[in-house]
Amino acid sequence: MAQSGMLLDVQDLKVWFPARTGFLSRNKTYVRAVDGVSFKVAPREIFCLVGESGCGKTTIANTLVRLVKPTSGKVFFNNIDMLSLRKEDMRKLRQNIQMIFQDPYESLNPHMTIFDIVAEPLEVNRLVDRPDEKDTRVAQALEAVGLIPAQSFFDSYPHQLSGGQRQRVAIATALALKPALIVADEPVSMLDISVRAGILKLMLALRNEFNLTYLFITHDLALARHLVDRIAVMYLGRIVEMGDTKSVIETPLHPYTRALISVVPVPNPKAKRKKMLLAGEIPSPIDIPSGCRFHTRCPIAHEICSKEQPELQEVRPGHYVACPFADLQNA
Amino acid sequence: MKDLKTSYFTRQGVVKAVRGVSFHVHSGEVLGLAGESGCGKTTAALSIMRLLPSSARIVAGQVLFNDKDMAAMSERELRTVRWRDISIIFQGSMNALNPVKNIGEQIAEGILLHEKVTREEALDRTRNLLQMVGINLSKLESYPHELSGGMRQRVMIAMSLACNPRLVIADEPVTALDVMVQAQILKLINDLQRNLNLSMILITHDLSVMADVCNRLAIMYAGEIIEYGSVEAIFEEPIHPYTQLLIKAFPSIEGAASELFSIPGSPPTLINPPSGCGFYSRCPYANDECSKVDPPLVEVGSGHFVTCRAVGGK
Repeated sequence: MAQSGMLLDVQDLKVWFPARTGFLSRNKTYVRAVDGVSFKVAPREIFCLVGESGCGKTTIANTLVRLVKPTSGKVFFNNIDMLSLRKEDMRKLRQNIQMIFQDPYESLNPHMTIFDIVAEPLEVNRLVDRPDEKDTRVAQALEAVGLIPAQSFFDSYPHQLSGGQRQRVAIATALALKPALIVADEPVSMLDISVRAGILKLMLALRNEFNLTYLFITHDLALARHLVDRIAVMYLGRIVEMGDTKSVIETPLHPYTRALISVVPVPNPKAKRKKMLLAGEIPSPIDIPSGCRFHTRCPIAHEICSKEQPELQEVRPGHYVACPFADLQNA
Repeated sequence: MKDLKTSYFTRQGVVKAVRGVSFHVHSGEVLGLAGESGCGKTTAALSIMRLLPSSARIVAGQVLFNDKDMAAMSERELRTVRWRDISIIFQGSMNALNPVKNIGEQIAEGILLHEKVTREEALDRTRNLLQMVGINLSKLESYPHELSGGMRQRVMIAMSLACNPRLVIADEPVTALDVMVQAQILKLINDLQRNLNLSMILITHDLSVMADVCNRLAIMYAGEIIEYGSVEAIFEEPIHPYTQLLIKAFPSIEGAASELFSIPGSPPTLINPPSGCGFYSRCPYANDECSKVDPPLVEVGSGHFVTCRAVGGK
């Protein structure tokens, strides 16, 4: 059952991709991109998945918008079990979940005008009958994202706009369907720093105006610090720590989170932060270490860590960590 | 570098990417060139090595290395300096490395091309270089696609050090990497720079990285350096309005959560750059004169220079 009051409830989600090991190989191996992930997102919340490349955060995003089919697990959206829906019902539900991609240079069709790009989802979902209605909806969406006057952008092509403007168009396209949840996968990492905050502030304003909920995906912890309500830190397909932004950033408990936060560069030459550099690189998701998947790089690993996989435990109100040896005193 | 001007000659017009840039690098120091995309930082750096694309030309200015003007050298003379005295680390290690040669061969080839050594000696040095950058010798015969992004960047660094250069230009060396790998590579660059007493020009848009690594910093905007000085001076007492706003726009993981900050507007087009100060249209302190007269270069502290008429809005 889904927990009531939650907009999104992901339970033990697994997404495995078959890996080709050899032409005649009998042993089927899998890339275990997402390997048992559970989290809940409340309405109007900005929930953030952070982690390094390959940790599975984007796969989760793609699963939510059904670009990828999960291997097992449950996803409840507004208490509806999304994965058991028939195609037609899914299509209707899908309007409520929209995605903003990372690269506004690639996510917009270069051959279409801005008007056609924003109008396309309305047409595909047969939401408008009359042309003037379409004009109004497109204009409303463009105005909501600050492209004003909207009419002046109707006949433009993506290449005529700046990166920031393009990302605004992408947001307008998502907004046109009046969604409840927006999945934003690194929405500003391709943009210059001076325009980033403009886009993020827009996303915050839209949340207030349209009661939006965001699943925000990023590798940038410094950015998450100032933007999101809750953070889940992922490592090799699993959440290792989850909680309020303030507690996770200021008192990280999992050794991976602590190392990750310690190496984020700070725009202050006098800041002498002690960096906990981890040795080596993230193991391959085909060949995941036994037990705790972080034990091969963990500075406080015990013998048992290579044998038993730790589950997320609530160690402080709302603060979960998947490490039995997490230092609760000195964090 | 003295009053360098580099332009791209395109069908749309002449793009004045670098519009009179001067700086110097002391031996053994790390100079940071910072700025957003299109500010001319990479063009300025490529101008030093004369590795510009065919549409670009150095229009004016000098690039002095040991009192010789590289901007005026013949291609042959240039070859004696390029890679041997000055080398470069590129951003996209996947594109910068040859995909059909193993990494050992690639590095050795560079040494053989520039120095009169035997193949054996070159391979010996290659092994030392790989050890220096923390790559296991079992990877000597690996191809670039078999290595991770961090490993490839280490290979790039090894390659840049192959001929014992005195100046290394690093163009966004950690931009495409994950935070942890980024920290590993930055530490490696820092250690090598100190141990070998290298001079370095580090180019990046990420001011946080600059704060970590550089001694001095030059902030570029619209093809010009608008402020330069010691890292401490720039971060603690930024004078130019653009520098102030840029630093403010960088979120820090330290301190309390605060409102995010952006700079309204966008940089001017460099095909017909506006007269006067390039930042005029976005500057909160601008007055009429700023749009007409080029701002003078003012020394506001020891070694701390700013080009702003309104100097910090004061």
